[in-house]
Amino acid sequence: MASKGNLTLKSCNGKEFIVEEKVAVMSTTIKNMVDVDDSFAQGVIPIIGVDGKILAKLIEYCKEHAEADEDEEVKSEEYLKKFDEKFVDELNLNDLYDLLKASNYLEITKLLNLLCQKVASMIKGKKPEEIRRIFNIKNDFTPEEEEEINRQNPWAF
Amino acid sequence: MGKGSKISPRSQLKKCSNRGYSLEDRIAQLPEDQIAQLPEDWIVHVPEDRISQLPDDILILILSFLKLKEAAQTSVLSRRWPTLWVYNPRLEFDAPKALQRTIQNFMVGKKERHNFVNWVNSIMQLHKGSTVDEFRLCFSLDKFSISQNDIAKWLDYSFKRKVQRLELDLLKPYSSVSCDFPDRLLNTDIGLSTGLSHLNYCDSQLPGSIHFKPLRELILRCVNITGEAIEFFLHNCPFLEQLVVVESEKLGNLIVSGPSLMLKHLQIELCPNVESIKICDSNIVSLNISVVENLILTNVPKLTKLSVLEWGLVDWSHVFSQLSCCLSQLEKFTLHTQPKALAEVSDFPELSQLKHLKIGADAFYDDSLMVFTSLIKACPYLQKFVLQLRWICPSKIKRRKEKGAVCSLKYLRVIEFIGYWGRVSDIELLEFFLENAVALEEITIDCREHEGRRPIKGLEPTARTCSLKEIKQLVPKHVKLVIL
Repeated sequence: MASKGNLTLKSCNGKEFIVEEKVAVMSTTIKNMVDVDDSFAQGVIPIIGVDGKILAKLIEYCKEHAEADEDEEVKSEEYLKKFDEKFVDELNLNDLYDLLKASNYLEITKLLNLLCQKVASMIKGKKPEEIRRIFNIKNDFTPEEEEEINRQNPWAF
Repeated sequence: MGKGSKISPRSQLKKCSNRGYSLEDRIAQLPEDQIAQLPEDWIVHVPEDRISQLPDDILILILSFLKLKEAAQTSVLSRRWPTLWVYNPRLEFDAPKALQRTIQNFMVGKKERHNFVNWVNSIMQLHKGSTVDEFRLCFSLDKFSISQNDIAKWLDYSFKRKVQRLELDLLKPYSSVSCDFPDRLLNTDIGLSTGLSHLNYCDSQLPGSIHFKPLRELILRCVNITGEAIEFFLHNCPFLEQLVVVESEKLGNLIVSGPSLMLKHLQIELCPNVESIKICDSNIVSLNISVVENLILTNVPKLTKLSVLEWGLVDWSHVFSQLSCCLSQLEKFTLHTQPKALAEVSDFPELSQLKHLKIGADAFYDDSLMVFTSLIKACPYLQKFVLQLRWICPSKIKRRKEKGAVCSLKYLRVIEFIGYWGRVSDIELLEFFLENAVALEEITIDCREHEGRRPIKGLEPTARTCSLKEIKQLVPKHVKLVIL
């Protein structure tokens, strides 16, 4: 049972995490749940569709940023930037997708933006063939469709 | 697939792969009972295209971190993608390579301008997003290369989609005519009530309900906008923080007033027909202006950064008296001037809070720079001094060095000298600093030829060799010397 000011989050595979409320409410979704229904604040909050590994990652991120929001002096902008960089650099593609979906669902806007930026940086400056290879995208256009799309070519200037 | 023939799922897959299908396709084509027969690890090892399975809003957000062109290019990846980039909330139209070609060759330029406008129009037509956070267009366009209607359409589209940052940088070709800002967009009910009735154009295509409120940044270069239209934005955009108007030929009179304005950064530069600018009771933090005959500046308590851009020979005593209300509170002051113009000032007002002074000046022949020392003396707490010279026709003349007056520059730690050419005038200014700045920690001498400066062959090597020899002897060991 979480003590006062703490919340218990439960992953879809049953792992429980006790976190400070200020950390948990970095997620707008959780904040809304706690605001609307007091019972969540006492009991266990199920985090649907997010497994323990990903939830742990989310909490790691939120902890750093919640502390920084509280006291700017403790963690400088520079420190957070470095933390963010390291955080996304250490993710493999599967974790990246899982975190994207989870931060979208939990509405952790800062993290969602960070992760999207990471994916964008992986697309940036690459040829379509390279992008397909990195993300395992298969080209499902028929030759005719592909020709049509290349003909429209709205980006070529 | 042969009827009744017993083909194992594995060989079936192999067969399909010869036809160029991906593994997923191949599995999908197998009958269900055969999929069930596949060993488990077959499925596990199928390389998944997880990115395409992400929801639209995430993919759109990802693409919003790319430049418009790069986002649009994802159309070719697979069927999942062409519908996504059109929701991009950032419409950025720039084409540096085409711009280069346009500037260099008149005939090519004509065609490039035409193509550019077509390109913007085609993208605008494809765009589907309900919001446009940013509309930015940077290209060389004048009144003759684009119809007034096109600009009006683009801006109308952006305003209706709650644009927050609007930038038009039209870099008009030399001696051409700039585009006009489409005043008729402002012809809303609000516009009419603030005295814009004379802008009442009749245009059935453009309905009046346009939303200006979310605008935070408005940046217009080489776009002719009137003072009334600027004031319209000031009064109708409660969140407007940054306003930049450079080279508007239609700006005559402007009043920026009222503490309720959110405006922090104001830049009104190089508008040749400006008559008067009045800025009062405002919370602006930074102001960039050119010299204006009639400038009234009062009650701007938060103004700490000021830049005055003026290449002509103006009466700086008059300029300083116009600026008198804010000089003592400035922390950063930038001025662009001819050294000769500043020489006319007999008495500089004290800049008692100034920490950072930057002077941009032209290097003519061997014209003395020592005039700047009088201004520097008026800044007792100066920490950083930057001089940026434009090489117009610098030349070396053998003459005796002038000595600057002795003064105490106790806090000056950093000096940057950009555009050093090794003239006597360059060296004597450096010597002035070395004699008076007791706390000096770092000097940067940049003798590279900079982009945008008129290229004069052979200048840079001369500058470099001269500076290396002489400066190394001049600068004491405890001062860090950086030569670029």
